[in-house]
Amino acid sequence: MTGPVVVLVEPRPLVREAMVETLVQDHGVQVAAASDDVASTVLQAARVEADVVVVANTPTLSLPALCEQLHALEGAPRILVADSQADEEALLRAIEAGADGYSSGVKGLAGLVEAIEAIARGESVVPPAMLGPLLRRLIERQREAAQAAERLVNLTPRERQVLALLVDGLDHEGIAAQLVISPETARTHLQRVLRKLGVRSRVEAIALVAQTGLADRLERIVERSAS
Amino acid sequence: MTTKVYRLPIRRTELRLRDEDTRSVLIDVERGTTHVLNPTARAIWELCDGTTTLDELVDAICQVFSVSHGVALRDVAAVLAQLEEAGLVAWASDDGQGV
Repeated sequence: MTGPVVVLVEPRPLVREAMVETLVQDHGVQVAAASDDVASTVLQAARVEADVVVVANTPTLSLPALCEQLHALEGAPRILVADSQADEEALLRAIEAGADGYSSGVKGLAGLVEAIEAIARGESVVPPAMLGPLLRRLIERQREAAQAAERLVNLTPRERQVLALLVDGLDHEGIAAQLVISPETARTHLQRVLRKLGVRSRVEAIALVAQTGLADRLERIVERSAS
Repeated sequence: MTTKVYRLPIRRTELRLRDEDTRSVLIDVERGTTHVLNPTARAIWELCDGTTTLDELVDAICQVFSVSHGVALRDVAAVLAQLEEAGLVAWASDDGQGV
């Protein structure tokens, strides 16, 4: 058997078994291992020196964690997310997590095999009809992140510290204890942060930081202002 | 006098678009010409809406195709040059005026 060495990640045992059998028997795909979670996938991919890891689109598996750990392997495999339908949200999540491609399932297993071969050749696989909407969504995300970054710049160093601690899960009393200020002062800082960020609640402030990927930048800002 | 920067590609809207399996065809009824686009060129043409900047286009392409900024810029510029040469795309400045 020739062709790329594949690891299949599918948490549902019956689907996994059927997919492996069909890919191997009917399509000649070299499925060297199958797995159902992040740790065993990384281990198997390293053990069989996988060229491609095919990951079923499933909410039970953390795709960002899997992509991060697979990218860290020596001779990192390429990552293809396999879906059962054309789902723009799932495609966006896959690309943002660091996957190299997405197979929509519209062309069945034959389409998946084509995608495996293309991705093993180093191509990025996105269904043609989904590429335009994907690029538009990524550009919208860039704009949201830029707008949020502009709002963050308007915060004082103290307010950034308060926001960072809020993102870490502390309430105003915890923030007060951490910064050695009174709970009333912490509450005032929090109200100013919410007003400057243009959000109505602490939950919205946390979501804003998380959605725009600014948590790391916020921590660096806080480290700098504290040093 | 300030020099305007034309950085917003804008597509001609009076074209007809027909999507096929792995390619799209743009039909210019006025000039009696047709143009075949691959999926990437089609996606870039669609994003030439007069508000999306070249930088935004290049950053999005980098993310999808896992290529460097330089490679993406070269590829996007090549596609835009072909689209412009075919009369399918023009350039506008931030105030919306075309070149």
